Amino acid sequence: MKLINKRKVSKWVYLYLILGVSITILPFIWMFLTSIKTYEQAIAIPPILFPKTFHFENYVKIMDKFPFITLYLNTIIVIVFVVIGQLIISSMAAYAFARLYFPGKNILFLLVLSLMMIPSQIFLIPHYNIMISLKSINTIRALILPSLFNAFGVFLLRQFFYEIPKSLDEAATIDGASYFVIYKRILLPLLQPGLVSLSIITALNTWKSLMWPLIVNRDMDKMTLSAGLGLLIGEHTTYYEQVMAGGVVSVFPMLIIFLIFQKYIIQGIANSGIKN
Amino acid sequence: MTKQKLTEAKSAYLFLLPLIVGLGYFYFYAFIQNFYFSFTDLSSFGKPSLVGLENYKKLLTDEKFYLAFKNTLIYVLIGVPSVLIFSTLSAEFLNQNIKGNTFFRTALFIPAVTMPAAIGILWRWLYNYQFGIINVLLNRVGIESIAWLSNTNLVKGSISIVLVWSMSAIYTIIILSGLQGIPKSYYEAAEIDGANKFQIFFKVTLPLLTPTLFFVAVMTTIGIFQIFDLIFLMIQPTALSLRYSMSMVYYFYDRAFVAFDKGYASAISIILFLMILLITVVQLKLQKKWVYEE
Amino acid sequence: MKRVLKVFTLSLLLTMAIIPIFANGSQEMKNSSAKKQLTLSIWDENQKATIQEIVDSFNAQSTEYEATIQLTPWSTYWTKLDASAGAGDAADVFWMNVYLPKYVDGDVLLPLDEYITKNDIDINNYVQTTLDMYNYKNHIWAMPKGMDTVVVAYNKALFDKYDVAYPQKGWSWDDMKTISMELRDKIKKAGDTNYPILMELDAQPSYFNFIYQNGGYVVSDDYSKSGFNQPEVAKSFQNVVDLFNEKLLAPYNVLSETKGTDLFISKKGAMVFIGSWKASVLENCSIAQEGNLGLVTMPSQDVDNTSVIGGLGYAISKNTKYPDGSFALVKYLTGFEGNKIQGEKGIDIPAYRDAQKYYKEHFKNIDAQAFFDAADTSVPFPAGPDINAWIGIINDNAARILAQEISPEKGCELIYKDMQAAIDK
Repeated sequence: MKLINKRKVSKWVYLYLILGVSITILPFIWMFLTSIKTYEQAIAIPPILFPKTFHFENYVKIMDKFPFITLYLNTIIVIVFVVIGQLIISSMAAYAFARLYFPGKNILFLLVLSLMMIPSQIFLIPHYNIMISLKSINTIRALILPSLFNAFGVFLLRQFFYEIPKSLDEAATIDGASYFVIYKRILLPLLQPGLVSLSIITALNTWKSLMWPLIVNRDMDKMTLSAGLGLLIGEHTTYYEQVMAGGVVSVFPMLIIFLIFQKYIIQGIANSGIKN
Repeated sequence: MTKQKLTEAKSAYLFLLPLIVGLGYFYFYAFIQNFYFSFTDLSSFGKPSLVGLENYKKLLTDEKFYLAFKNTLIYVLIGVPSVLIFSTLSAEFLNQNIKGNTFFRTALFIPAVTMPAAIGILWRWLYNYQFGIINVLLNRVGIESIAWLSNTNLVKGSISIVLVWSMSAIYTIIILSGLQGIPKSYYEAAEIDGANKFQIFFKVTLPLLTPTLFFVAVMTTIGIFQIFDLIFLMIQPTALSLRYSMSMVYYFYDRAFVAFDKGYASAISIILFLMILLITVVQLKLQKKWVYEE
Repeated sequence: MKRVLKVFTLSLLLTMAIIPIFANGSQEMKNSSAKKQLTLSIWDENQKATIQEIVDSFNAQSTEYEATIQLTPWSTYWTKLDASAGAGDAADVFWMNVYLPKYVDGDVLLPLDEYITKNDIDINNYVQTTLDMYNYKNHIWAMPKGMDTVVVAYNKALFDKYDVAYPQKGWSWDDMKTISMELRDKIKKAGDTNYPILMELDAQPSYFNFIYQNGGYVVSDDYSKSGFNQPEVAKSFQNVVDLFNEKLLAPYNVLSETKGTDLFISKKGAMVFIGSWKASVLENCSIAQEGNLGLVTMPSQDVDNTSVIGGLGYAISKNTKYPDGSFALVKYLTGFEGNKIQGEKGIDIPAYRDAQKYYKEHFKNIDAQAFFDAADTSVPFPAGPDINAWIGIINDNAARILAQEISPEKGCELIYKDMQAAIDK
């Protein structure tokens, strides 16, 4: 059931998209090209786009310096737990904010939202101290716990809940369903695009998270990909070609995750049409 | 309260429990603590002593703070509408039935997965006064080189371009999802009524998209108010243009982690917080006016 | 089908994940050996391999202790140190620099005097300036690791191309200007876009040196007075501004967007003021590999050609479980053997004088002698307990002066006002 089935999709749309894609792909291409340069080629002025000689040994150097398998595993583990945790916790909270009435609703929502209005670096040292009391310094769980609770997801899903007609709730209530059943059976499936978006964004933010892993964890085998690469940024000198090599190696899981999930966005909602 | 309302409230609290407990333990206490610290002379070590409003008084006469404040406001004023417009346009186009849909979506998403360091370094090269590709192209068509990053009047604009470009990647996805959530029956009904492309977009799509757009508006406002990474990556700490591009979070970071003047930094964060809170509350109140709720 | 696949992958990942999740976070699990564990915290990934060598050597000869290195990048090193020291949880041994007074005042460091005497360390083996850096309130708080000096690097090929004489040791600022003017004119005549002089706009490889070279100081020896009310300081900035105006130094726009040293390596400039911390980069660049890299001490200004000396030391956490073991590690790292390895690998100029020759021998393409010569006329990097409060003030206003947004006099006036206020607080 195609909705806007324009055979004649405007060529302007194509132009816009192609231009957009070129600009967005550029840094990625440059990242890859830099990863096979020497240091001198990487910092060259004027900048060299295509190096004359290819230096794939940068990848070997990186592999030697970092236990990439461990870093990958750690990153994936953290992402999986954080995403699942957030999906559950945030969707439940979002449901309450979107559909239920209770005293203090607006104030509470504002309070939750306001936690996002402060620079996140404020929480670095308090979290460190919390991890000490939880005996969790230098652990994987230290990377997971604080990220499970986040206002962004709650807000996002609340908005998606608003897009779903209340008539569905009402119909189910008449049939005698409890709030939890309504949440689980009826609304959650319809929330799919929201859940998928949240998963992708949460996965991304977790993957990129740099400062916290570096502060709370000490050993290389507890690091994540981004943090591991962050170790390469020096006080005076940074060997960009190595950083880029590491960047290329670490970006693939994210791209693959996105490729898998974006199909769920495309598939759209087979049941978003209201079957009356 | 009626019995029904009581059950409803109780259920609501149950649904909210994990979030509230987690946020309370990990974030809320630190948040309050931060507020407290803004009234002290906290530095790296030692017990901080209360200094009352001294930090805030100092902020009032702090030239650097005003600069950071002004810079941040400009980023927000330019950035929020720009992100909204770009993301909506991109999402709408991606929602069409085009050949290579998957490719376009993945490609437009790439800034989101590219390392911030790579984005910063790349754009620094593009913008370079002497050898950046942008200036090279301008010179070819007879236009003089522009000091994108070192001209104190232009630097904010240059950074804003990169900001909008990278933020739009994520928000395009969100708006795209929002578009996907619109029941197809509405489009079909409109088509049957004989509406054209533009009419459908403005009369059907946009209104139904407003909950998502509202989210994007609030989130980009909050996000841009806290801009930091881009400035950190694109401007050298010793460059003059830093004065004219640094944000409030940058100044906060400088005070907290470079100068170790943490009490003062807390005061900065509180002012920032109050500003964001004010604007968000205004946005929330306006929500009733323009956001369509099913 | 896709759904099943997705669920399966997720469950597999989850199962894999459960195991490490509940792994014990403490160090004890990891180490099966009976030796007592020491931790050494550093920030430079480039030096890690060499330091690991020294640590391995220490571990082999120690029957009681075993040390492991923890690496944290520069950007988060101090935050992490503050957080862990504040919680009594810092590494046993860690790198320390000019921020030392803050940590002493914060009471998180172990004073080393008794350990030095107990272990019969002869401090005369070390370059005096480096010892002074870790001497505060009449105690020694860290053992010196290395030292940095600032010199001038020059590209012989470019000098040859324009047929200009190389800089000579003992040259003056005026000599530098003469050479640069000749370069400037010949470059212009050839229609090229190279620069006579390049500079990084950070304090350490540029204006901090110039201030002392003209007879001024950044902060007094007792750290109580700012030096920016001295006319000598304004003059030293004026000298740099003159270089800009006479087109002897690359324009401010260029230098503020791209690091002077990167421009030099890309063969865009004939001379650059550069710190010894860039030695490895210089050694490996094509200019050096082609045999065209020269190093010479800085030109003298009114008084001399003082170089500011920076450097690192090893400090010990006050809360360490094993003070004797920690000191044993420090002793090894900063002893002759440790410094010899440092020198041989060229990662840092040893503060231990007798090991310095190994550093020089390591470099094949550059003559590191200039780094040592620079130490002959040197002062310690200006520091003190308030450095974190005033270094930003200096950096910000220096940028305005160099960009010529304000005059050197006005800039120094502003710096003096705020810096002295910060010290007095």
